[in-house]
Amino acid sequence: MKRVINRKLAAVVALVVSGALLSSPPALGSASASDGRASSGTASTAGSLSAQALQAPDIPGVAPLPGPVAKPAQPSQDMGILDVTPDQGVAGTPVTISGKGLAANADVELTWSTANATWLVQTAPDTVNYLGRTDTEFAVVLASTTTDASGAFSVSLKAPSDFGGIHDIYAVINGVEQAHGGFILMRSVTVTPTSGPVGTPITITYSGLGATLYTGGASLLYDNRYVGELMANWTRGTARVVIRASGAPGPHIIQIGNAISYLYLNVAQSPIPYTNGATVTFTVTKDDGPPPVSVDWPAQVDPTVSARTTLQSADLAVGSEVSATLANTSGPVDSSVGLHATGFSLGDPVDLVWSTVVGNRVDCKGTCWTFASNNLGTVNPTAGSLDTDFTVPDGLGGWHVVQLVQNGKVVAQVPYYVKESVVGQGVSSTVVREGAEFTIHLKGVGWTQLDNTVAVDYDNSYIGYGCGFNSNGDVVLHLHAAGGPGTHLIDIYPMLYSLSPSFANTPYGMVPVLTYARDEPALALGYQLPAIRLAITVVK
Amino acid sequence: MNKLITKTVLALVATTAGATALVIAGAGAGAGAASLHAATGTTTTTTLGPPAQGAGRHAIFMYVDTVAGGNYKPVSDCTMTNLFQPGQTVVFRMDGVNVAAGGVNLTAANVASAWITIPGVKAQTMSYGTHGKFSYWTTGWAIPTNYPVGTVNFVVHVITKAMPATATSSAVPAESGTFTQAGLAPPSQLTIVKA
Repeated sequence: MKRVINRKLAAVVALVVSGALLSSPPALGSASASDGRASSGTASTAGSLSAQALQAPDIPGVAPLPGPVAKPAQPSQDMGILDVTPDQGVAGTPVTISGKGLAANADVELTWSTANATWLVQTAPDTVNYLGRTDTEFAVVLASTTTDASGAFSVSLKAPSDFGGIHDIYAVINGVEQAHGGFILMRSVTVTPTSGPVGTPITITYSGLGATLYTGGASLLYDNRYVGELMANWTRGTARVVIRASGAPGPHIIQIGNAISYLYLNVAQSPIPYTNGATVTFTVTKDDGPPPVSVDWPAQVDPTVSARTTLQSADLAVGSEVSATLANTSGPVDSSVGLHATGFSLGDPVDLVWSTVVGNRVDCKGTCWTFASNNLGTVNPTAGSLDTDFTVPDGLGGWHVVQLVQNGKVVAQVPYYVKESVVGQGVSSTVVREGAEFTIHLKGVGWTQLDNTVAVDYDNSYIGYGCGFNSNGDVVLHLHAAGGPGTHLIDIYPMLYSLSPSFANTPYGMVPVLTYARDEPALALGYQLPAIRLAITVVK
Repeated sequence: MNKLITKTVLALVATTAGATALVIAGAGAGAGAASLHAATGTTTTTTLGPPAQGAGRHAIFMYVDTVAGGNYKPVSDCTMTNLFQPGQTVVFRMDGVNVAAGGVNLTAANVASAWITIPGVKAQTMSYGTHGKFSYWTTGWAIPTNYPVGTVNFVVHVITKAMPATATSSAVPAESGTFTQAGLAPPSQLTIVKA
């Protein structure tokens, strides 16, 4: 039974919690969202905590809508049918749409049902919560034509690049849907290359994912081991990931298919039998030793949400004319950052304050974190301005704010994003005896549900995750050298944390997000969550 | 398995105007932009849409659903579903009441005609009969192998008989009513799928 669950756009939460002062961390209470979902108590300055349907960033390479948005049309109660030949195929398939028995010499718009899909989050000054996904259906005009004197028409076109699955096609005349046809946009898979040594980057493109919950996700297996999940909410049904070839020389099976995190193994018997997948063989040609450490950053996009964690609205100096800018707005811990500020009317000392949080989410009842401040130094303005450098604290990753505090009031504040980074060579030793423990050391892991954890694959097999909240962004992962002598790969991916607090309808949580580069909610908030590629050599 | 939820009250047009506040994501200030204020959402107000079966007066109430007919495997006949493949049989079921006549059940005794229209298909008469222990209106449709995939915009039509005045009630004229899926969410509508 599929019930209609109208989670259209933003479910509404209007939640105001107690104010917080940087100098005096508040006691954080619990609260409930007005849409019925449980909410953690969250620290917030006097602001609102709201569910947001994220506006997709401008992701490069995404297919546009297949046509202009169609005006609403009414169905005819005497509707005919269209001949759509073929009625299924992949994007680019030549298609002929024809109709008859319509009004003579009439202008016809052929509409194509489609959708937009996006992510849902809640933003607050002290966290970001992951709230799942949503989609909105509508129609676009695929083509326009005119019927002949007998009321017939025929249009030839190519199936557009769009979300996969069923698309209704209507012949609309004067705002009335006079005839109906349909097309099933099938899925396709490409894998490039299909052979190479251990560590070879393999690009897998899976097109034709749908816009709905059960059709919008996919799963990737490597030799029947779970690598991670793929989504295509913001990429109009096309998911593209890069994994690395692992394992002994010889053939290895890459399987990709429909999933909500984990592979749906009998979709042919499901209500969505068109959500086909594919299996491709990759041949590992040789083991040339460990590939170099690499960090693959996501697409560089302009965020669409202005909210930043730790951005405060309390203790602000009313009417301040101080303007502050940073020489750069993101970097790893221990970075040196230039700060320039102007507009000081007083020469009194200015405290530079790093705004962050401390706490954790483990067995958390209510809220288990609070705001905290790090003093970055004190500077005296000269002639109304100041120039100085500060060092990014060795702490949590994600969005922080540098505040300029003068006479107890915040006269300016500037967000700064702390990137994840690898300590040293990433692994405690690049050569490890078989069965021995080794560690991976990361810095700058965050605390929100978008960035508090990292998911770890060993030889393309998901083995677990690490969390950086309790350890203030410092993450030491403990692994064991397995799989026999030779090169073994560790790939660390972003993960959507869907626990503590746990919200309803949050699919895709707690597993590697392989499509982190182009379809990950954190992108809309300006986060830059990478894949970190490491390797070891196992010896006897 | 998707199943059809088509319980629609044609006679009731109660629309309590409610308001829901939507918080829309703010367009992005660039990273690093100096700001003194925490970001806030823009609150707008929206109103409820029209009733699924239209805002006009409805004299007839119908409950309509679709169930699996013969050749629908692996589920058994009469399983509720809205997803069919070409070659399978859709059974349309309907029961209802004549609101204008005080809520009497729609039966063969007081219905002049009941039929269903399906795009591209000749109108099909619905018949009133007993299925198991209860009676309601049905008709079956074997989906042609070349029938278009996607939504099936069927319409159920009913015309009632005029009822003469009695010692305790006034005369009731013949009434007509229709049921469509147009107001339902796409995943709820009768849909033809293919592998």
